[in-house]
Amino acid sequence: MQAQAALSRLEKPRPVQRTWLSDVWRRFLRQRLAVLAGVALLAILSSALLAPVIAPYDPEQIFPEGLGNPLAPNEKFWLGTDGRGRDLLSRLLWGGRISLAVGITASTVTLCIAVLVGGLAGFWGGRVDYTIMRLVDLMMSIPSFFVILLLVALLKPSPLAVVFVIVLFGWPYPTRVFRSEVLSLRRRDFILAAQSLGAPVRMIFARHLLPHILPLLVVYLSLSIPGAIFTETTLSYLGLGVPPPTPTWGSMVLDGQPYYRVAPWLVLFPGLAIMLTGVCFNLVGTGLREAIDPVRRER
Amino acid sequence: MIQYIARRLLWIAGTLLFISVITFTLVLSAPGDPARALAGSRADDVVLNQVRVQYGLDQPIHVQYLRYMARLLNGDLGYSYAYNRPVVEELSDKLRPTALLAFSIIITALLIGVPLGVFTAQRSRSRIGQAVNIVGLMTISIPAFVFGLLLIYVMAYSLRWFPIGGYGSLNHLILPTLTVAVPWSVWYANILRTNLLNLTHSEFVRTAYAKGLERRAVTFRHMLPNALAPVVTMVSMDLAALLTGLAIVEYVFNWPGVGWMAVRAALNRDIPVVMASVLLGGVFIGLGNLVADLLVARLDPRVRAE
Repeated sequence: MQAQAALSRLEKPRPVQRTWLSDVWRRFLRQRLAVLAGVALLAILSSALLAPVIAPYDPEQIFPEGLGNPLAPNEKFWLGTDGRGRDLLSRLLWGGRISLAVGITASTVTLCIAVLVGGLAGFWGGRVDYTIMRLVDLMMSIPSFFVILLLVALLKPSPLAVVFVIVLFGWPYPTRVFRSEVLSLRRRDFILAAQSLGAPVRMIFARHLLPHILPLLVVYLSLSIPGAIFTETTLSYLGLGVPPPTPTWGSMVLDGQPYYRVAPWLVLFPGLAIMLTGVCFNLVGTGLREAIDPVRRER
Repeated sequence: MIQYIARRLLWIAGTLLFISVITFTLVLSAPGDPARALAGSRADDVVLNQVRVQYGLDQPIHVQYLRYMARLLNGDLGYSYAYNRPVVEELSDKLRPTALLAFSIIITALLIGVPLGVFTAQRSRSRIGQAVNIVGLMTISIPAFVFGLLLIYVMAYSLRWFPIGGYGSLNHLILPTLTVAVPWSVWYANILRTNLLNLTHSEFVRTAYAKGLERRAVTFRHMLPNALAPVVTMVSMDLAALLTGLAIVEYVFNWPGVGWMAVRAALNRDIPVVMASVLLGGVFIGLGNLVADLLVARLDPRVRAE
């Protein structure tokens, strides 16, 4: 009986579709920590996305009972209220929207620029490459944080201004990374074949180079988002980012700091939110890297 | 060698020129009256006119820039309206604390990072190695200000081991140092471990074992110098990020350094001070990169040949 069942299984082999993507996915799922982080990340992202629906109160609504003396977490306010009597949970959910949106937008734009500029430099080489790389060198010797301070002191702070400064000083390093990646791909036979068939540069770029860079791009994106979020939260913490009363995680830390003796959770919760988001993006990023490129794994 | 250093110094001067053009254009092209930006929001009409004449804001832009450069070369970085004194004096006061903190951070980061890297390289499969990995990931996932505030709350407020902030004694130095040095040391340890592991199968290591050296000697005499050079390069590339961390930590701990001054100046819209700190940061990065490259050349004879 058992033998027959085994035999019938043998006779009808299940068609297993193994694509590159499914392999990557399987290798990713095997890393428990990265999967856990991915799930947590999805929860963070969706809670920020759904803030208008799930936030119990208006983030800017002031409750007189908490005014000037922050309430501890209780049944009405799950995470308590801040020094101005506003519900901390609602502010945390809404604040995540700005921090995450700024971080994700800024990194995405940065990497698009980096792939284009770095790709062109690596592909064309020669004078174009030289010029671009010297510009990268110049940009990397600028003390970016101080220039950002100067910029936000001159400009009116807004989420868009913060995205702008992150992109402005974020592109040089990844440009260098993608340039060397394209540089190593350029001499490969399939590019040469495409070139000899007379494919235009645009097509070689989109059809032949981009698919090879894409994995690196995805990994790099998830590893660079925390940095962008840190810049935003840091600027907001310094009072130079998104102006009040709009909540962001950074400005919430700033608002909570005077109360750290009586209500340490005012700093702790937004700080934890920033940290958790950063850890999750990093874990997912390294998990993806190992899933995509298992050969390069450390022993 | 001297020729090389001279060329590098010239490049630094070039970047500083570039930085000065950028900051100058930024300030002039910012919305609003540049005189207002330079003098601060609290300045009255008399001061504004005085600033206009002093900075030659009635002149064409290239004349303005040349004058600005001429003043820079004479060591005149402008006048701080928030502190009511020349920027140069304000800056030179802040150099010592920043230098002290920076050295303390780098030394601490190396003192923790190098042994940690060597240790985890030898036990990369063990639980300790993995734990260090995860802790490392966590420490680089925290922005400096959050980590600093956390340290203040636990070590200064709850345990009362250290002062909450300020400048003066060794006790004041410890928490700001740890805030930056701990994440950076773990970061260096990670790089170092990867380098060490990559070296384990190289020929010179096999040769060293073959001639009868013990593991310790191979690790410290033969592998470490090789693995350390990329770390030094890494430090110099991360110098800009290190500077950021320094500025934030100075601000959080009320450490009266250049970064603290720059942040407060930005908050007060004290533009001449921010402009000066941008230039000073450029000098730090340029010289830091130079020193790092020279160090690498000392560590790695192959680089020296270039």
